[in-house]
Amino acid sequence: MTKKFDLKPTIVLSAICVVMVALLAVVNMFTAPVIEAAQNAAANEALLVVLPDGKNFEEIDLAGKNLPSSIDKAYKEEGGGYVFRVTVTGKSAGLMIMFGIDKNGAIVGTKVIADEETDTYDVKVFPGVEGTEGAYKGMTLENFEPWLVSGATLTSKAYGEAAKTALGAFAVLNGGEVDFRTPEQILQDNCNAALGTEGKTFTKWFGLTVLEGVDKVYETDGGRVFIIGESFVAVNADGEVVTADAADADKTAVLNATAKIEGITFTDVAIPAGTSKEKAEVVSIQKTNEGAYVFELLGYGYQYVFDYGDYTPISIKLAIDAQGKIIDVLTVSHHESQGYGDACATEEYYEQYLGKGDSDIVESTDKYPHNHGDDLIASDNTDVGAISSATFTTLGYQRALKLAFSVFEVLTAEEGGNA
Amino acid sequence: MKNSKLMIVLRGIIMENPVLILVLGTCPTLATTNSLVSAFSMGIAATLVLICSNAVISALRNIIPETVRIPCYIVIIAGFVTIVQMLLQAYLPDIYKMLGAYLALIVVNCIILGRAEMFARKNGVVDSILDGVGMGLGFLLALLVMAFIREVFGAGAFFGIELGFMENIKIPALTQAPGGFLVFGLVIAVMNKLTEKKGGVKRKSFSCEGCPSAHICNKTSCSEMEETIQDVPETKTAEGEDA
Repeated sequence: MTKKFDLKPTIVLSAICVVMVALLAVVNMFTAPVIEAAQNAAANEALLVVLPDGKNFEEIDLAGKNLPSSIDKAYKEEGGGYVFRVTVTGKSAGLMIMFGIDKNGAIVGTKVIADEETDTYDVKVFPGVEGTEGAYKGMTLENFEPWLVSGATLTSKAYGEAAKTALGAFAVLNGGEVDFRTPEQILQDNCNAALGTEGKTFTKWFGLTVLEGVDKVYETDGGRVFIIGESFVAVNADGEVVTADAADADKTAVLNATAKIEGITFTDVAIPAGTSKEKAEVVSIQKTNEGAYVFELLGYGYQYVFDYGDYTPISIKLAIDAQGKIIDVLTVSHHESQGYGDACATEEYYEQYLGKGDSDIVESTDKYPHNHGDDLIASDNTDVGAISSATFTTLGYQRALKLAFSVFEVLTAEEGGNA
Repeated sequence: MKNSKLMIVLRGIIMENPVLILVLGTCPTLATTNSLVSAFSMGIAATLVLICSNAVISALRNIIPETVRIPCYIVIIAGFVTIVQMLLQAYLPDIYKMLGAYLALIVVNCIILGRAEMFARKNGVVDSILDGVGMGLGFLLALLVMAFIREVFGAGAFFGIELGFMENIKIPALTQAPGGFLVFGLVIAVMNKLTEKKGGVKRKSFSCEGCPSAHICNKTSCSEMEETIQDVPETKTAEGEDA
């Protein structure tokens, strides 16, 4: 005998659910407009903080306005001023800042709404004058200058990026044209345009020789792009110049440079005995057919003082020409502190070493007691390669480079002796 | 007749006070009694939900099948809690913010589900409404007593108004969680003492149906359990009951 299925419980429960939902819908009909009005009033209050003279703010529909996705809210007031809410990534994701811009396109006020930044170094000290509310006050897109705060590099960079985006958005909404791309995006786009590719990622060629008439070289699997002044000239994998409008002189320079790059050969060199050093290491040495030495080094940065497992040595690649001058330097990998020591992996950092010799680099340990953290922090190292607020990174990097120069001296002395 | 109706209301306020006698709704009691305003708001909100849910559950008592009665009660209670939430958010936003998550947690307040199960499903609409009023007022009264002690002696204030003379003698710990437990215990002790003088609370009048341990003890009331424990050795009782 099968048990009869009883539908009543299902029907009753469903009916109660439907009635309760209907009741909620009726209540919602009355309360929703009141709640919305209250929320708008609260939002307007927040808008007045950054644009005190604003009246009757109205939210703008951002669809189809060609504004960067970092702008998630925009409001216009009846006097022509705007308020933009920009979300960027500082030291961590979700740095949300409101910018009030008056009808003349000048920032009137800013306010950080949400952040996960470090209290001491980042948002709280930035910009260090009137609190975060005063940051970028009075700046327009024309006179824009980013404020970089030492010790809060990532936060201040993101803050500046957000301010520029807000000013750009103001210009776009008033009929102007603004390039919202970052310098890195512009570089990649220009390289792709020169080589006739799309979406390829270009990396900087590690300089193994000095190239006449060429400033920088970027390469990808389909070829190389040479930067000469403002021009981008590309050579494909077959060694042909593919940038049609390149000047003849530039074409000649890039073809010569390509031949020089392709012609470089390496010989492994044994690490000379007795050249070891505490907290710095030479991993390998190669010599090019042009007489330059390429070193793979390890420098103990933050790990120099604090022997934490998280902090492994900085891996450095260094090229020194036959005259003992640095051709190029690259931080291959590192685990230095974000926002501080990680500056050792930036283009600006490498550039200060180019063309420098042994005597130009002052090893920090010659000046500062290396096992005393407080002294290191208190010291004001302004040498080549010094990173503000990252004394331990500076220390490790410079020790590694000095070691390379001392090995270079031994190697060149051996060569002289052999000759 | 009038007397019995009045008794339903009074029972909830004193003799079966949900917080101080039945010890239900402890979580919102401890959470919202650090200020008189939040205690008053919570008390009123819970009372409204209790009255409405008791009325509806009582009206539908012959329609709701036994097997789905608890889900039905929960849907009804949750619906009324959401309505109260919407109204507070729209017309009293400060109170809405002050009560925070505890407002939504009224849905799982034992007093409301307990009264639905113990009273509303067995009695008429009017009696259920009166029970809701009595229990709600009892809850409100208990919250106000506790909040008065905690705010006046803990924060040195009364309904948010600073009491200058309390400045140097207030005990800030009373506004914290441990202070809440301490005051709760003291108020229950005083309540027990007061009811003891009048013959004590007749616990056997309470039903076992709302008790989470009812299926384990197999008794019809707590007093029967107490008598059994006094008269018969524990192991033998268990065997006898099982048989």
